[in-house]
Amino acid sequence: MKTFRYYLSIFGVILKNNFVSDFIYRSNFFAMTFADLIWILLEASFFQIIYSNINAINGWTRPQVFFFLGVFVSSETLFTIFFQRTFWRFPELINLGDLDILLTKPANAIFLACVRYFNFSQVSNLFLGFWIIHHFGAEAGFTGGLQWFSVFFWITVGLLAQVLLRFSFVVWSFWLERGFAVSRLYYQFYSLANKPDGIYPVFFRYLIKSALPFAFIGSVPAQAVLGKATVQDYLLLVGSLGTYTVLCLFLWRRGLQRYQSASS
Amino acid sequence: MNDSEISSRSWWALEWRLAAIQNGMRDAIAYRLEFLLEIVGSAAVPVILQLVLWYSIFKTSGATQFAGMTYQELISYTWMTLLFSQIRGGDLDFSLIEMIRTGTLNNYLLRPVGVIQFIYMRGLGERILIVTLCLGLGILSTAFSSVSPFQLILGMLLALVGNVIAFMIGAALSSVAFYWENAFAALMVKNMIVSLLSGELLPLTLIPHQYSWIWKATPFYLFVFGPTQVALGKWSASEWAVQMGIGLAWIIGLSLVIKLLWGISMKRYQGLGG
Repeated sequence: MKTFRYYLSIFGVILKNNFVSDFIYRSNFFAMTFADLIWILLEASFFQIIYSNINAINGWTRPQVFFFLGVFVSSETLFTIFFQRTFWRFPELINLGDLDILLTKPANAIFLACVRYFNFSQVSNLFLGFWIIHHFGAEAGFTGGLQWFSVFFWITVGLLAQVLLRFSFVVWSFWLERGFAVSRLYYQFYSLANKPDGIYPVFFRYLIKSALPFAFIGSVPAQAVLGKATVQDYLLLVGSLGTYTVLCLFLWRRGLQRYQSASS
Repeated sequence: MNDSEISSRSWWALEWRLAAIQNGMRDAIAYRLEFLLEIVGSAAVPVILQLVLWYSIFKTSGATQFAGMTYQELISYTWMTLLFSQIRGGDLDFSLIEMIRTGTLNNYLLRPVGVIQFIYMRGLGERILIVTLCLGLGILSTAFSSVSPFQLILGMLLALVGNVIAFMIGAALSSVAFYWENAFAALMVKNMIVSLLSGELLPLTLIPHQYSWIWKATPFYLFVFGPTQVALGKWSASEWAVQMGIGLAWIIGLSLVIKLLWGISMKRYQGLGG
């Protein structure tokens, strides 16, 4: 409990510092809010174009897909607020030798490496995600009320899935001179996450629920909220995210052994 | 100015551009693994996703046509976008805003070359490697498809015009960095809109007819959709010529816009840091 409080206080300090720095650059703050709003609109336009030409894809109707979009946007927005900037700058941490400072601090280095920069400009988009869930929910089979607790739980699962996936890509910066290439590769694969897994053929469906578990960011959480996820989905979720946790910790430790402390 | 001075200046104008291109090429292949990862990531993954989407619509949903297009037509379109989406790419505008933000623009202002052109030429080095690779693969693929090498080359030329326009729009937008502390968001918005309206994600003919004016009003369709239509023989040679003309008109218009925006903005630039 004492350790938890200690880390919570560190988190609070980082949160406060980031809040201040975000509001120093107000124009950028509002521009970033606008940029993500456009991103959501474009995602919605993509599905709107597809569904203006067809009624259902592999059993996924328009309201169900938009409900998925709401869950996905909420989970993605949480990731953007708390982790996106940190992971984007993670390669710098290693390539410029800034990790030295974190390793000498009296706190877990992996925690400090993953919780550095926040992005409060996305908070309004979190509400937009909830609005999409609410707006398309009834037609998709979402009853609201206590089911909202299920939404909050599953978008947290989506957040965890994305943190593990992003970390597993970015940790290769220990071995690469330009870690940004891996970050870009991540965002290419990330396109697998912004469509419901049901529209993919069987092979891809298993791929994104096992080796590349992007389905756990939005697709499986959306189905779980609607009560459509299967036992197999839950087993794959536990197995896959568990494996990724072990893999990330292993790669981090091996990476630290390789780290040469370039700046010192 | 005598003849030898003119000749010397012309030679210098060519020399620095070639040097910048060469420099960009060397920089791109200095980190080979990363270069390869970037090509694979930016080319293969989006294409696979599109192919999977079409497969789902046609094979698992049982559709025979989608917005008037057959499965085969959509597959051909997707493969062709693989080539042209690589040509339009590049994050050179992000380099420009970073230079303005951090003050490293100072170093470039001291050089006897135009900063925007210099950045473009460096990026062109990397792009030439990719274009050569794409053209090679494309011409190879003509042996197994109905696409003619001539159509493919016409498409490539239109895509190159699109590449110049893409950079110019980015360069014009990056002038926002002179006013905002970080113009990252502006370029992100532009990139997101381009990804949809260039035809990279979906054929633009899928957009309902009443909204087609949206993509026709921008030059983004010249980046991927236009070249793909030319290569697949959907646009005739005369249509290609018209689109090249439109593309060149955009280039002229954008060069004026860049001159105006950067001219005004540079007066505000303080060159701190760098």
